[in-house]
Amino acid sequence: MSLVLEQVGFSVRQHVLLADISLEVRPGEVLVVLGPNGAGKSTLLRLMAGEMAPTQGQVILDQRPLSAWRAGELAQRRSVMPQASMLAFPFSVRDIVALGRAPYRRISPRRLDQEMIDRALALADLTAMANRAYPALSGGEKQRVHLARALVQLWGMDMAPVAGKSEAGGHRFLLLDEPTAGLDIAHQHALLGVARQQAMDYGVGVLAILHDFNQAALYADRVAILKAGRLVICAPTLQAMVPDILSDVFQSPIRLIRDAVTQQPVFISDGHIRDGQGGVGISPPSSGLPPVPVHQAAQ
Amino acid sequence: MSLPNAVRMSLTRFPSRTGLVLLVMAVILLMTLVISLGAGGADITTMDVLRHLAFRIGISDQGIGDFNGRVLDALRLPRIVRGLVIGASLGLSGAVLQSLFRNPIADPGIIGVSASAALGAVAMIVCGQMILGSYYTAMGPYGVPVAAFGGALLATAVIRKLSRQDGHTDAAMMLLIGVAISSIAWAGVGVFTYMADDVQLRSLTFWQMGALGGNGPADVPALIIMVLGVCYLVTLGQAMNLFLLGEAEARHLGVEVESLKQRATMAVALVVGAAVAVSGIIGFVGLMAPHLMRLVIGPDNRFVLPGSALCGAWLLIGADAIARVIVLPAELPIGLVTGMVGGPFFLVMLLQERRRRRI
Repeated sequence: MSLVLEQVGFSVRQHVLLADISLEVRPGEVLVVLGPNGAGKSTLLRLMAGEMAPTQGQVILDQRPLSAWRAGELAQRRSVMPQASMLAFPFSVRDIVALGRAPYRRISPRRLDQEMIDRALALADLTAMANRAYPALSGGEKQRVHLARALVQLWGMDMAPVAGKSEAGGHRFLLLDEPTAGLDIAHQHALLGVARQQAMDYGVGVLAILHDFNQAALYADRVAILKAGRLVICAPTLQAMVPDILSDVFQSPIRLIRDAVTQQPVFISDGHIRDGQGGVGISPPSSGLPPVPVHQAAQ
Repeated sequence: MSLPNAVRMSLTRFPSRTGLVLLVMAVILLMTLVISLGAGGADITTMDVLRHLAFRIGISDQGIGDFNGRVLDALRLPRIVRGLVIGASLGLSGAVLQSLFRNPIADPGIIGVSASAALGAVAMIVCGQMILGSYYTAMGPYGVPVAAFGGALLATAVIRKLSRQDGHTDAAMMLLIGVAISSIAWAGVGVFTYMADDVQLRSLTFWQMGALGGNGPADVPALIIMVLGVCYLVTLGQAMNLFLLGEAEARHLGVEVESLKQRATMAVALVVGAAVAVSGIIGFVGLMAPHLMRLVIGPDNRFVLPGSALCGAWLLIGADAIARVIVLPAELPIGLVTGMVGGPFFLVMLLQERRRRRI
């Protein structure tokens, strides 16, 4: 019961944004999409969300193309965390998060709603500002509000905070569009940790667009790399994130080293490749940083 | 600051208390209604009004004096009913449009629906005879309202058609196109006003300044349309809340965005076209009512929509009472009253709003 893209293409007025992409988000996994600006990552996410219909191929959930799903049905199966949006009216943080329960308003008891909202606020570290007005928040805080909103939508009726794995009603999917943009490093990890946990504990299929290779390596089960509207590779994390492929796609020499302590893979980018002279990196000027004083380095 | 932040927050957090506010508003509306029934050229005491109402409903078997009774029955009650329905329609339309466009300054007047309705009416008054020939008399009193109505529908259709791109409607584009259509419609009204003769000019001012005096036998069907439209629009509260997050977000949360947008704009066009057909252009109610409601009960559309209907009705009945009393024995066009009160009031609200959002 995956969310599947079948040879999907999308073009706007002769402009090909995506071509021939076959990809699936499986229940219980985190699939991270990497790619340079304009590679079509957001378009891919919008197609998967059912926001737009592909011009070629189809997006399929439970053997049914998304176009055959009613918006209300679909809302009970996948939730989307968009990039923070404008809001001209002074809703409180709690009000906005509560909107995530809208797909269940006919069937969800008020107490369950409140319970889930409280839990989502806590997960997004918003409990203290639950009554603040949304328009007055910072960009990162707004982003977290949308995470909490996506979570209460995702939890549906049976993923009560205490419930274990749930198979009832089919698998659910969480789509994250550059979720870490604007967040400080602690909240970035907290957010990705929450997404990871949804996948592991509740069998949610997570698709996340990320820019940070190291976060992708840390949280992804599989990685898909897009370049100019085409899928370069989609494979288990470190099989996809080959330095040569990354260097080519991102036009920047990228190396993979292992952290001496944890053996975690660490990706290092050394600069920008000039005019496609493959592999020739320009190192950042060594005089750019002040030399480390000897007595500090020794400590 | 009309209300301290903490109070507003606690109001939005307890819907039951918000319900209480709506109830209080309904009571205030009823009181205004009774007072307004008493005010005007013939001074009728509040007690007499109540006694007459009780008599009409059948609670009491003793009416009031013949003259006052007839003033109430034939003049003031119909007028109050028109005020109630039109005020509720305009207030609610404004609230719905503001959510649809995600823009707190949207209003039936601003997106050109009212102006186009007026253009339709004015065109029919001045040129109806010329274009329709003998059919004009056959249409009788329905010709002008139907034209007003047609103008509103046409404007909405054009706005929707032009602002659609790749199957999506861009709200900002829609607003701008509305502004353009509004100015085109006003230019058209100007041209027809220039062409009109003396008799026609008199009825033209009715459409431009607005009045609750009634416009003939087409009023009743128009009022019924408005009531039906209001009943539909008032159910859209939660969907409009989701709409405020953005169209994509509303879709993610299960709203069939395109069809909802279509139904909501059509309903607004019908309601506003009908309102203009009965009363001419009455500005600012659609702008003021939702803003006032948000100041009192917060931005939750589940309460703002019914609240705006109540508040719009209240504003219009109040404005009508003022219009009838202020230049006795004559009567001011009600559009002038809402304009004179509404304009400055709106400015003050905008300034408050700006200050609050900066915090």
